[in-house]
Amino acid sequence: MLYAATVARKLVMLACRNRTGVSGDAMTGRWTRSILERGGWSRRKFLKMSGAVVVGAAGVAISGCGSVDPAAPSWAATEAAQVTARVTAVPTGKLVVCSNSDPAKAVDKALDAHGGLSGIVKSGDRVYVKANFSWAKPAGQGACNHPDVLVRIMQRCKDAGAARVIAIDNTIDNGQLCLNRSGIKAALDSAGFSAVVLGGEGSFEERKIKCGSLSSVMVTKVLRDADVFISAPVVKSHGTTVMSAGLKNLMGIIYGRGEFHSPGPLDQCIVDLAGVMRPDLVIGDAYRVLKTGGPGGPGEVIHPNEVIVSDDPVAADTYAATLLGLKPEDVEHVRLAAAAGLGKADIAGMIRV
Amino acid sequence: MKFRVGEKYLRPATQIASLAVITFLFYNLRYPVSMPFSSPLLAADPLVGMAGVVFARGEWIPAVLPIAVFVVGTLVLGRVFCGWICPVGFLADVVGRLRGGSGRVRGRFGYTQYGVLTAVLIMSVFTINVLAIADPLVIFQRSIYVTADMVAVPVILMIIVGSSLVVARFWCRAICPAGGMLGIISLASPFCRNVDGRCNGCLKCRSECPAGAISKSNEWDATGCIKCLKCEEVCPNHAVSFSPSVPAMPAVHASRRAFLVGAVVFGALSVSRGVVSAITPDQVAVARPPGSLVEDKFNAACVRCGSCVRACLGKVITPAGMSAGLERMYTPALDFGRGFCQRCGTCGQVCPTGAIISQSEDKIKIGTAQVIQKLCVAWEHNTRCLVCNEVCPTHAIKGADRLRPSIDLDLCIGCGSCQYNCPVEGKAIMVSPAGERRRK
Repeated sequence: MLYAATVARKLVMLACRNRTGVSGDAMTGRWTRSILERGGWSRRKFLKMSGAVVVGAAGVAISGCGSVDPAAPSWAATEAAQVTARVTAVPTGKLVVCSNSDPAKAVDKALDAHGGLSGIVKSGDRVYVKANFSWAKPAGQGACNHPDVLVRIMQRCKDAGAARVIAIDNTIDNGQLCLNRSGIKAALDSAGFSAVVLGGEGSFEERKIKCGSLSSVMVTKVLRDADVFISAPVVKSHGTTVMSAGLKNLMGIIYGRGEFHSPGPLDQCIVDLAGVMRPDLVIGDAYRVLKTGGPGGPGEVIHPNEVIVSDDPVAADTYAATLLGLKPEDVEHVRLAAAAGLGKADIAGMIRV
Repeated sequence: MKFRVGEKYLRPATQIASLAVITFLFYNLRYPVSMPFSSPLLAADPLVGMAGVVFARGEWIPAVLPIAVFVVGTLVLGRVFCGWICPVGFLADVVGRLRGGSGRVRGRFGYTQYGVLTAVLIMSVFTINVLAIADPLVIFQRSIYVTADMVAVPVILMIIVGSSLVVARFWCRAICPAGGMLGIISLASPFCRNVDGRCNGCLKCRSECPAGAISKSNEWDATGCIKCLKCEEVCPNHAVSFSPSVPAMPAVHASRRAFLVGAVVFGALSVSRGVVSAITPDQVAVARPPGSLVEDKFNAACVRCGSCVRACLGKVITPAGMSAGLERMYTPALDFGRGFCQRCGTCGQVCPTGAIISQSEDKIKIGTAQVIQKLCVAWEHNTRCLVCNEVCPTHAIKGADRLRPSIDLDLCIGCGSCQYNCPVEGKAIMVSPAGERRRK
């Protein structure tokens, strides 16, 4: 009996996975959408094609010959990935840095100085915030987001009209343990928000990427659903890449990070990922900064009490490096990102509040 | 009439519900644990408690509470657990229904059960574990695990249940040491079987009794009765009732056969223990969950129930297979290819015997990592990888010039995060139990 039940359950799961595994939507946010449209793809056409793929896949699954590889991208996803790779520069490059002893006020001041979230988050949008809660470490150690900073960012998105705001991360330690120990779960719960721990190979899909010997990367499927994608990194030191901030933060949306380390090379892969999965906005959490012993800590924690906002990940990271006492060129992936035209390393026109 | 029909199905309904609850409780074993004794059923098992008391070391005292509840319940109601709750007993009942014809009416096989119980307890005093194959709740829980995960066929459970095809509840009436223990406690129960003057001596009750608790002379055996109330149900004259009365206290039926069986079981277990030890290689190093006893005591204390395997947050605990030796079979081993230890302490909280007791994080040392330089891409190809350094929770892995990892053996706690996250095929960093810290 139990055998039969398990077999049945596994079959059902398999069928479900096949059906969801090949839908064509590859949206990563408004930015990606604009790229798709620039490439002659109207949203309507894109959705139509996606729909056709979904219907086709459902037909395949129902007719019983469900031999569709769930990991394989649909042709639409491949197309989107190829299109995104063409894009380089960002429009504004505006960089705002604010400090305040109150974490929520620091977020507010920084976002207000940046001009609010209007034009980024629209009414009814689904917003995904790539936070950093990768480590099962106590809140004070600076390995994860300050809970109040993260909650305030999500609250501001909601205030801007977002229908749904969700924090995501593919954690290193067990996700539940990370959320509990970092205090982020308690803060999200009391504010009415939720976090999703990205996990399980099946919840990621392949994207084309060109980096060393790697030709693809597995990116979380939840971002298909995103109208807006915000990167909310913790600024901290990093044993391998010297610094972890906005660009490095994106490694938390992929599966199989190990491939970036080896064969890698790591810094180049970070840059290439940022070229494919560009966030609409970077909100850097530098309220506490883990100056040594990163990314997991424990180490020396300094307290700049700052929040960095920019739609240019290179500008944001260039400033973040200075908080760690580094020159931007010390951090190879920031240097490579600037050289690749992902953003400006010149932060002379920065707004400081 | 309707009421009678309902009453008839009351016991099977309770048994099905119990089976569901027990299965749920097993699947519900996970971080964070909800109670101090979070393997609730096994924590309440007095046999596991008594056999495990030698390993307890005081830290285990809160776990006495569920056992007390269980024992008091049995003192009042008798072996109701066996007849109404025990999932193994239920499965034996179900299979017993397939037994065609009435066959020979059997009793309690000379109270062999107490021989088995005595042998099990004596073995436990000498820190030799037999509960893995003798306690029904342990057997049931492990059977759920191996069946649901399709890793093995629950042979012991099948033998127990299958024996019902020959004699109804043969295991429960003649072997089960847990049932024997509850039977002794049941002597104090005031709910005895009373037979009034309407009895015509047809002994239909005796032939229908699934526990062999009614003798040829219609005497009732308090230690065997599982309170299924079958005798009450089948009595043509309604002469049987279970209203409260003076407990059957002094009537302990020990027999020569029980002593013989006890001696034989003890001998057989001792011999098999010797054989098992002899064919288990000492050299196989198995990484154990943090807070485990030293190896020989661990193998004795662990009942192989699968609770820690089920509850492990890092998904790193797996049941050891035959490759670790017969004696270690189904004991928890850490497989760093599947996950790594999160130091959450859940395994120690769900362990029903004290084989594992949670330790504070600074006391944990599961083993030590070692870099295999020939495989490491940093050592061999100068690749800037260093995942191991990044994921190490104790900064035990140093990366000189952010390049080549080396390990500080004192700082390394053997959690296995480096091995799990190492991107190299075949793993360029491996954790062995070398330098592990165990409870004595």
